[in-house]
Amino acid sequence: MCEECMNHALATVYGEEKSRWYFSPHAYDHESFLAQLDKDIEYGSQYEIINAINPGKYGVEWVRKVVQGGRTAQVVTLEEAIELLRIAAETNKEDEDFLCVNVSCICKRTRGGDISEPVCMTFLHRPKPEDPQDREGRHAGQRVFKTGEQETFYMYDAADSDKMRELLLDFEKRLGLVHTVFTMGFPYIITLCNCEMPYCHSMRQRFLYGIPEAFVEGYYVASVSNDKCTGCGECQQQCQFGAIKLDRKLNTVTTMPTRCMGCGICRSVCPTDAIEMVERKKVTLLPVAEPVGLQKLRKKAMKKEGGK
Amino acid sequence: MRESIERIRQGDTSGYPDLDILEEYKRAPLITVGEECTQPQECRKCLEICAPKVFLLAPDAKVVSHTKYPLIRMGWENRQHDAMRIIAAEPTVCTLCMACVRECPLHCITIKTPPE
Repeated sequence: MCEECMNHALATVYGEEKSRWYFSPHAYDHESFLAQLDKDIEYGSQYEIINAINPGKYGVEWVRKVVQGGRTAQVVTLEEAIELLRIAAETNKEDEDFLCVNVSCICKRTRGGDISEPVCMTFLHRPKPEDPQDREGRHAGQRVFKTGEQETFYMYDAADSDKMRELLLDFEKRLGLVHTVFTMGFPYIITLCNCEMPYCHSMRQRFLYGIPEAFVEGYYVASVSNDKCTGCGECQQQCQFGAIKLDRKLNTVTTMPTRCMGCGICRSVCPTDAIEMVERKKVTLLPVAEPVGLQKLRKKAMKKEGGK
Repeated sequence: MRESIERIRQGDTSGYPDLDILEEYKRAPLITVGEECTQPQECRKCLEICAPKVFLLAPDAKVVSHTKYPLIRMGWENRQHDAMRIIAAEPTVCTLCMACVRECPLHCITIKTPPE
């Protein structure tokens, strides 16, 4: 993938056309993802991957290296999530073997927590007989996603925006989960995860071990209008990052953009619609965070231009 | 860390999580899960009771080398594929609440405080 394609990956969210790396069709190019997978990485099962990127094994420096290599996550809002699901489905429209499947969260399976509900929205590839196999006779797609366990999962139609909105809103309101895109080798997105502290490995890497590249904040922040806010405190209870301060005397809440990851859970639980998502660079002076892989691609492109 | 990776690369995979090499683990509590724990996938009690999530359900596999690219080449030799076990992967975040010791039906978890 070139830098050009990333910067010109456009999609319409909140009535405006936005350019984001995860709207690029290249990020969902499953054929290239599998090609890269077989070339560079020999995956084990999901359990093995999760174990390999855990700070407890070889220390924080090791994990930092893995993250720098392209294993990152970035928070997306509900609207962006719907849009990128649509793009993923459209990109692989002609590929009959491309599947969109909900599986139960691998982080929760390894760390405890409820695994009865399938909340991880995975893009996977139905294996063909001629696909390369590993020693145990499993194909590339199976190798990544098969866990060898009985699990609940269902297939979904990612292009059906209304249904996806319903599903993702349910995850936000009922379970309080944060939508994130996960890459395994930048920029190939393999899942749209719905994450939660303290189970999520990427969140732990950022908040417990101080590796901010592992879990990158989204392009939006929550903003409260004090006229509508009644001070019920629902959003403060739901926020996983402690970004909301409730003033009990004035009956208002304030958000802290430095802590806000831009997931938009507070907005969906607000009974009076007092919270809206605004673009981070428009309301704050904070630098816009980007995954390491994207920065690397930028640098590469700059070097090429300089060489010419 | 570099030492341990080098050692593993050369094929010496004894002492699977080489935690004693890391500086931060010298001050962490010493948590051990006994051999009696044979069906961690069915039980999951310590996983669920632990608030900071110290424990990890891990495959009984060893890392043999790593590629230049992000992830790790796993060893396929000498392992039973479905064998799982509980490891105390992140003792640095342990709060010493001892809930896991009380909860374990086989009484096979022990916690020792870090040396002063």
